[in-house]
Amino acid sequence: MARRKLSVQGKVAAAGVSVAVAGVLAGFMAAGDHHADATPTSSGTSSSSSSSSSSVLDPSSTPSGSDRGATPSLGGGTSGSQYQPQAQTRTGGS
Amino acid sequence: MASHFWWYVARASGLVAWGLVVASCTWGLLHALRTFGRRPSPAWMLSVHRYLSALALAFVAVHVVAILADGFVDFGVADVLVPMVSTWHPLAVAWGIVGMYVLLVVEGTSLARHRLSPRVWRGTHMLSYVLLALVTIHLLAAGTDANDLLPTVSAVLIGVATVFGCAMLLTWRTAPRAPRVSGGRGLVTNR
Repeated sequence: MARRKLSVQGKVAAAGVSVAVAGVLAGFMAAGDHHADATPTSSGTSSSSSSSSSSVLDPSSTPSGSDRGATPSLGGGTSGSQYQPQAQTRTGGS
Repeated sequence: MASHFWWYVARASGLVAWGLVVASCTWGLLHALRTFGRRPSPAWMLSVHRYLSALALAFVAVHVVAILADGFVDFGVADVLVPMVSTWHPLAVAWGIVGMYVLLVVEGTSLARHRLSPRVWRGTHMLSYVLLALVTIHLLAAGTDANDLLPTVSAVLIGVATVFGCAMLLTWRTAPRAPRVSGGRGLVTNR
């Protein structure tokens, strides 16, 4: 005889599988925590409670500091190379 | 982990709710097309379809409650109930809010099916396809996991498989079949 309705065991099993899948997903999300930290920060509307985690991604000092650290190394080399061609030009010109 | 508990619950329950909506729509199609014939029985197929929809609604409720309880992204009651009010990706969130209301309408009209005319119920139930599109857009637009490759690829593959499978089932169900020998309704009988 064919079953007419989903049994109680079937309902419990389906609900259990759904909750288990949700738990596994949450576990994976916790493992890749940097994704969870990054997204709310990008909106710029996150609450102040997330400032501790978002400060890693949105600090005002670290990127500018690194930029400043990067720019002089390039600019210094460039400026140094600008002086040398001038000197060479002068040398070659004279 | 503990500080972001509700954030993880919100994201995981949203993903599971989307999967349950996809499963329920697919199961409903299988039931409507009478894909498996009489085994399992249509009543059992309908029962599973209804239970998957109820589970989807439950996980949507968990999704909304977890978002409200979460302090990681500051959402108020109006943000999760009124479209375009949220300051966090308002359009992306609006897809999910409208999808939630469509789900409630489809569920409510299904529960009150015996009080509605078949035409009204069928027309309302067709909103399930709109619901599927809305929640998928919400997943890809607002879901913070949409940046990951796996959910995006999965969403595309499931969508393609659903459409392709439905087309195949429809073709299979409407294809002419060989006449039955003793079916009673066949063109050829031995009697």
